[in-house]
Amino acid sequence: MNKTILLVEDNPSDIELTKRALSKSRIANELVVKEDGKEALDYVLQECCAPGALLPALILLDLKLPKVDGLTVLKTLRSDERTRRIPIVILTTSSEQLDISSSYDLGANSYIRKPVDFNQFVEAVNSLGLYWLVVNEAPPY
Amino acid sequence: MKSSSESAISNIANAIQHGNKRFSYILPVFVLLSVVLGVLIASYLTYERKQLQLSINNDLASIADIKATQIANWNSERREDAIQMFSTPLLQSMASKYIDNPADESLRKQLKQWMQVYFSPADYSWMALLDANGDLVLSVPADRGAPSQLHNEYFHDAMDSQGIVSADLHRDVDDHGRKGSEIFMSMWIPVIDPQKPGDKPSGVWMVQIDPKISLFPLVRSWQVTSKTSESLLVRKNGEYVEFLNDLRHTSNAALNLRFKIEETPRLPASLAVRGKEGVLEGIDYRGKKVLSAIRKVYGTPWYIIVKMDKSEAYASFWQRAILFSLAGLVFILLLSQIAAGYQRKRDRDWLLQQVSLEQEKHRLQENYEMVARHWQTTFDSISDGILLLDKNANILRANKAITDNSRYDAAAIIGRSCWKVMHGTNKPIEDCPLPQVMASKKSATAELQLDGNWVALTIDPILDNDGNIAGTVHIIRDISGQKQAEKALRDSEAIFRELFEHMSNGVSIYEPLDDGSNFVIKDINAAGEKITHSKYEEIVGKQVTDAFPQVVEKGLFAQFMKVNRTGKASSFATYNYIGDELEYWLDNYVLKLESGELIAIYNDITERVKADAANKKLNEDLEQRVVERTAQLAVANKELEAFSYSVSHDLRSPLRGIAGWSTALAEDYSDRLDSQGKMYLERIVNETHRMGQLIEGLLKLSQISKAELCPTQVDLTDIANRIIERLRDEYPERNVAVNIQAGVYAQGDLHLLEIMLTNLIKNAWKFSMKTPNAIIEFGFGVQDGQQVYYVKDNGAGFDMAFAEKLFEAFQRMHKASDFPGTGVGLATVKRIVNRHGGRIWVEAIPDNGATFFFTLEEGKS
Repeated sequence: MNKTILLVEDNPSDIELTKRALSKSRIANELVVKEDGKEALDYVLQECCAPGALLPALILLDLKLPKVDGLTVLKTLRSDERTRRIPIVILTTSSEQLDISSSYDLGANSYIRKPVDFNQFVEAVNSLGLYWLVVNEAPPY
Repeated sequence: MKSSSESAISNIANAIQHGNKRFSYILPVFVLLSVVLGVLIASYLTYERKQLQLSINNDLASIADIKATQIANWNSERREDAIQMFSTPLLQSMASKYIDNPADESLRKQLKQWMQVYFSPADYSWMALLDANGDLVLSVPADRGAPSQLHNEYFHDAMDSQGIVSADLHRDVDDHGRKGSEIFMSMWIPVIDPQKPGDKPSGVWMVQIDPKISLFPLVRSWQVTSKTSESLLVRKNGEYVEFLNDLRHTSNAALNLRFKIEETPRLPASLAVRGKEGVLEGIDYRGKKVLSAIRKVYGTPWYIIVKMDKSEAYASFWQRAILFSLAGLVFILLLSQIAAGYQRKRDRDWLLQQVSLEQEKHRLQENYEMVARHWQTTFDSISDGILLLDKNANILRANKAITDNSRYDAAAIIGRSCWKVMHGTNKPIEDCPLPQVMASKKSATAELQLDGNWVALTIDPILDNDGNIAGTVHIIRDISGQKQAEKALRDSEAIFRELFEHMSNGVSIYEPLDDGSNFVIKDINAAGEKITHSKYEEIVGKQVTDAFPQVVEKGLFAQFMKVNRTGKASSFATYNYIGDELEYWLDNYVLKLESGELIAIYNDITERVKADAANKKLNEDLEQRVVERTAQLAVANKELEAFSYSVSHDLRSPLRGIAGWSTALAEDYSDRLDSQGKMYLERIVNETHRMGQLIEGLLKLSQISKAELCPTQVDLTDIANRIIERLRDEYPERNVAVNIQAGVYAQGDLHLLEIMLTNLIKNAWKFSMKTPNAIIEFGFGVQDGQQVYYVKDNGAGFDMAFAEKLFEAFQRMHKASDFPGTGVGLATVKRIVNRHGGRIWVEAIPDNGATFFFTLEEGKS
């Protein structure tokens, strides 16, 4: 139950808002934040895949990231045997058709556009946390 | 036509009758053939019958012979037996002694032994020794009594004659002493003691012969199987003939059946006893016709008859006769069929021949009539007048061109002399070439005036087989038109000469050399002289390559050759540049006349070409500029895309931060904020919210410009209805009258048209929210031949002075507090309409509603 959520987000304000939204939704899982794509990949593929370590239960991935962008992170994780089943939810500001379709093509489990309104944002985080951490049956490893 | 075909039919009908007479000999030949065949069959059958009869007769005779011989032999054997007994002294002596002393047992034994030996061969059924009184002394077999009284006669005969007496076939009690009788023969042999010759016999031996054992089988035996054949033995008995053996066809005949000889002259048995011998035809005891062979059996009173029913004897013959007759009949029938078929074929061929002859005749007749019509029609169709004259110049025929002239009525001119009719003179007129033709026997022509017109007269002689003139043909052609045409041509020539000399185009006329290798200049007009810088006198008569050597180099000469060869007119430009500067430019048009002459028409268009070149350069510059601009535009579009992406992504993030942290502030620090502070925070959140919507609207606008069109048939009525439905759900408190025209369709992108209509209808809904009886209409009509759609409301309206700005982004007509909005809705609508190749415009009156009109696919519908 005490599995980690990985948040890949470079905007400090959004990081804090996400944390706030999670806590308001009573989601008590440990939240790991990585602020660029490279850090995120290093964390998942090296730290989490080390013996005895656990993979994150859910990855919240922004698309626009420094160094390695979100779509590349998604593609890399999906092409690695060890990580290809981790639920990955794209959480981004973009509503471009191309971004949405590319994300799904690369194997994103869900695509959520961050609403400007904070209340709606809290609602969105609440529902995705509830769904992916409680309702959904996690993949076996 | 009809009458001729009817006559053809009647001819054919005659031909049919005629044809039947011709071929009627077939029938007698056929009858004769049948008779000959019948006679042949009959005589053959007669011969066959004779042969058969002969063979049957032979068969019957030989069987009868054999049987007669066998029976005679059998009879003589019996007699021999009797003689042997009679002349055996020891036996006679013993018998005599035993009769005298019947008690002598040894003698009886001896006699009995001997009798049994004697008895053992076939044919004998009983042997008895009688004493002189006829009493039985000894018998084998022993259990038989004395012979019956019937035999007294034989006994006494034997006693009296002292010789052997034979008793012919007779009935007697059967050998077992049963009731009834059987047929027997017997031998009566007197017993004479050899030591006492001359004495009265002391007794008689009686030997009974059973004919069933050998005789009757001998009679009955037959080598071949036959249904009716039989042999019979008869003898004469007084007036009767008596049958001795049992017969095949009737029972119990032996010694019972008899016929009176007198009454049965054809009965073979009667014939036999009358002494006839050989093979005879007769009627047997059953009344049937039979063939019989009769033989006397020597040594007996018997006659053997071997017979066979005639029906059986000739059965095979009759079968064969019927077969032959049938075969003959079939053959004759077949023959008759063949003969009939042959006759029919002959008839048909002959008829077909007649029909085709008739048709050929008919065709020739028609052909002849057609040829005559051809010639008559041709004769009459020729527009020249034609007269056929006999050798005395009397008119025989005149064609229609002559007789159509009322002066020469056909009835009035035929038979009259030519000059009388044509000229009203008594002899040929002076110009007439007829006398010359008559003399020379060759055709001649003259032009002369007739009825005030000029005519050309041609006279051809018609020669007979001997080469003498039989008549003449006069052909009269009206040449007054020709004379006029000649004058017209001269006038026309003058007009064209004037034109030629004074036109501004240069014209040269060339005549090709015979081999087409060059062209001689025939003429050139004044403009031509000027353009080519030449003088008429200097170039006419020269070859073109001599007069203008540069034509070869410039390709014009090749063009002349081509036009001369193909006959097709063509244009060709010749020009020359000195450096970049154009010296001259001639536009040549070369054509070939029917006469074979070439004509070149040319213009000096040097100035025009110079002007065109300047124009062309200008156009090229313009095109280059368009290409550059297009490239710039493409870059701008790219930048715009990047911009809109960054707007969507980057501009919204801080906005969310502002909204988020304001909310956090309001939540976490509400106890430290007074009501005004809280209100400010709420304002901040609202403003960010609005900004978010603005960004959203802008993005949609840019997306519409980028989206690919996917045109289909779109049901606008349906879309409008659904939009209204959604609005009613969203604003249940509002009561708006909606009037949507049914069956409004458009060709376009479903998604974009839906966005467009949504914007327009929402607008109408929004701007009529303060109107008490709000009405929204959607429909379409035709205006200037164009389908125009409209969305109309009776809401706030606006001043038309600002109508131009209405469709630009972020332009608003109303205060946000009156009617909230982003100001991109109508800009979106306009872009969608533009992308569909349509126009949008608006008519509005402040406080009195607005109507938005739009078209789609203008120029396409």
